[in-house]
Amino acid sequence: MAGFILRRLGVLILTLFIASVVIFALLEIIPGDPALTMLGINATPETIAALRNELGLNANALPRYLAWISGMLHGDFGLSYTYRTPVAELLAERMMVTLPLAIYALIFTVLIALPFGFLAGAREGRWHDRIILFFSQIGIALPNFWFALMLIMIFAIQLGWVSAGGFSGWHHGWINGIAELTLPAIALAIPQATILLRVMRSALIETARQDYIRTARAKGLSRDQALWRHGWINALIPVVTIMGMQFSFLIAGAIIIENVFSLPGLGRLMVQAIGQRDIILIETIILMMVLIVVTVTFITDLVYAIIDPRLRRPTS
Amino acid sequence: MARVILSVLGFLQLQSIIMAIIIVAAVNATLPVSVFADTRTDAIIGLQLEPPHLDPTSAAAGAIDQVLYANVYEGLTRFTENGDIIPQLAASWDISDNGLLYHFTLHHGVIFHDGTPLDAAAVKFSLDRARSDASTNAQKALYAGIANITINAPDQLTIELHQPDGNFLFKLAWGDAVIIAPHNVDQLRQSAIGTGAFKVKSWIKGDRIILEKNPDYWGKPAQLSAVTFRFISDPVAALAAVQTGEIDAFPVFPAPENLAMLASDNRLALINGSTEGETILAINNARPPFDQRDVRRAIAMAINKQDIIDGAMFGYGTAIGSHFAPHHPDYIDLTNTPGYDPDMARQLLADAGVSDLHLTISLPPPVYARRGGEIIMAQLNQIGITVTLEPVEWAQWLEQVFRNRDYDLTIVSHTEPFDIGIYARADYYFQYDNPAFQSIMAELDQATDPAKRTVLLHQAQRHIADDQVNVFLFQLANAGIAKAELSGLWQHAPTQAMDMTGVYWKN
Repeated sequence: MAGFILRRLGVLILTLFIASVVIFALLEIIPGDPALTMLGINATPETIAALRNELGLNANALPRYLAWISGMLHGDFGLSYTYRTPVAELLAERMMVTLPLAIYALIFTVLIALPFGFLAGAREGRWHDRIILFFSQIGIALPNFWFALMLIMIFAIQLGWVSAGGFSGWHHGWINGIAELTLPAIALAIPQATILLRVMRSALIETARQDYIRTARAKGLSRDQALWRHGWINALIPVVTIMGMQFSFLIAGAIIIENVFSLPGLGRLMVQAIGQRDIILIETIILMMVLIVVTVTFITDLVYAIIDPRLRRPTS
Repeated sequence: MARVILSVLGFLQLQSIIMAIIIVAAVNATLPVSVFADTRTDAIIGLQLEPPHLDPTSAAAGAIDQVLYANVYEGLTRFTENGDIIPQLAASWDISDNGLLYHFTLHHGVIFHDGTPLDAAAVKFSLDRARSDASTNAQKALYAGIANITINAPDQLTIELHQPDGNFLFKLAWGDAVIIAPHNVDQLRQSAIGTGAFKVKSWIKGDRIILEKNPDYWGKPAQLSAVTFRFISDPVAALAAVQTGEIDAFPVFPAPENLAMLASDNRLALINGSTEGETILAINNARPPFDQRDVRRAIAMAINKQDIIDGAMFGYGTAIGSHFAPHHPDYIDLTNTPGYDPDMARQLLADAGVSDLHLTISLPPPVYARRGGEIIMAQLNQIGITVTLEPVEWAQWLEQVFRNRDYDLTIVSHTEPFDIGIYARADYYFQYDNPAFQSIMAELDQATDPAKRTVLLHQAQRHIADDQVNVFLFQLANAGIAKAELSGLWQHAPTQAMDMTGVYWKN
């Protein structure tokens, strides 16, 4: 197990390193001067030069890359060009919206997908299955920004139960925070839940055909009992795989939902940073997202290994 | 990467437009009643962009001025709603006969938000800082004419200019020339310590800035006890926020197509005024064949301005014929020089020996450019010009079009007040190098006699219209929406400001 974890960690670090090079290189290539973007069309060339100097933009790419990486290794993420506050502070603030939102949405996803997926799989071809499949078909077809707007129209504009967007922060109490994130979390979760539900269903159907389920049935268990005791845990491997991918999607997909609900999350910060060519901020946000994604993949790998001991052995 | 980002941004915008249509169709005339009826002393104002920081003297970001100008920070002079220049921190001034010396007397009893008094030293410090070598003031050029600032008494100072400047008091009214507290200079971006009727109370980054009334204000106190600026970038989210009533006003509303529908609700009132934004189809005057006046003129004659105002801005905007705001007292109407005449345009192109013309229009993100570009493309097709539309982000526009001048045509709104002087800058991105115009502007800069200035300004407007430097499309409207009970909001926007000092609830 230790060897397995070490190998996975190595892959994680290598991925991060490659990602950092690619992100830095891409941002070097795209047009747009941060100083010009900040000062606008009336600024004199001397003023722009003064600002470029202040921001340290006149140095060559390699020293800037090394400074960025070594800064991060020391826990110093640098100073945002436009906001002029430490990048770490900006990220921490925004992460407090995006991460809870993604986790909240994942909880919704799992709470919807697993029970309904199990029910549909266990009752394959019967009316339960058909109704669930019908709704999941609609769910998959829903673009989440559209669904988000429908939720706003119904619950904010028509019924007036919740506000149409915005996030007043966690200092008003976590209940208030959770309440403000509920609609966005549902909007993010529903399309994902319907996908996961289908994965759960087909995995369970696949499992139901395995020999050990037949053996269990032969020993006198009913189909439901066999699936409940031996089936669902074995059906989880594909479900966990997809969940891992979905969590990454929930973080990245939040860009759109954060816009629709005006949430001060990482996605909106990134869109603003790109518009303002706040290069150090963009680089760090993207690297942070890569870190989240590879960490989730790492955890997913670990969970496999727990569910399926065969995966702990190195591949030949 | 750039393309991916662009397509993501484009996708977001397209979504917004589609959803705006759906949302309007679905919820028209079903606003909840409860949220509109209450007596309040605060106001919640929607803004599309959030200030990146709180220092108006080191960035061009209009959002900083929108929140802080007149509310938190004040200058020696200021703009009024109609664009007039009135005294603010300066109680009075007199100008020497040669126009070089401005003697200012400051108001008594002005204190900064942290309790320290405002004096002539703070004024000198602020203006010296704006014009210093290390200055990162976005409008530094405006203050380059200052030769020297001397303090005569704690409440008196003299500003000496290199040469007479008929516009000097106007330049002092800009948000970039506000007076800051010298001891706060190192924290300017994080903490705004001004002299205004409101103080910054809190800032929830990404969501809102809350201002509270300054009880120790030296002038006429604000009527509202607090103002919250909420930042909502998505047009559909902005619409939803207005419809739920959680926003009291959205003075620059990002979705003009919905304004008529919103205004049909009698609890809401339309804001429809003028801005300083001359929206132009800018032409690269140095690039053949656009270096020929007749080719530029042909393009101008192929364009029906009203179609663009109606189609892109849903009727909000006033057609213009030169680079000058219609509400300015010295404005002359050149809208129909030349008028819309596609036949004549075709003829001009043929006479100039230009056939099979292909050109590219670079379109920055605002709706006037993206939608306006499509209409202009159709209109230019009518006279046989093939058009490629190239959407660009602002940062890309600034580098590629503005700095490197690598473009054919572009659509952009020049929002700086009184900026006809840019046509005298030969290296400006239009690349219009005309000595006759440059001498008009040089004369104007030194003219202080109002009658002479009027004559020169008429000449200047006519000159660039006759040369058809660009196609002058329309003056950008200040179009927004507010609750009908909320009074005192600016109807016009002579500068990017949301002056809340005179805003109150009628009941």
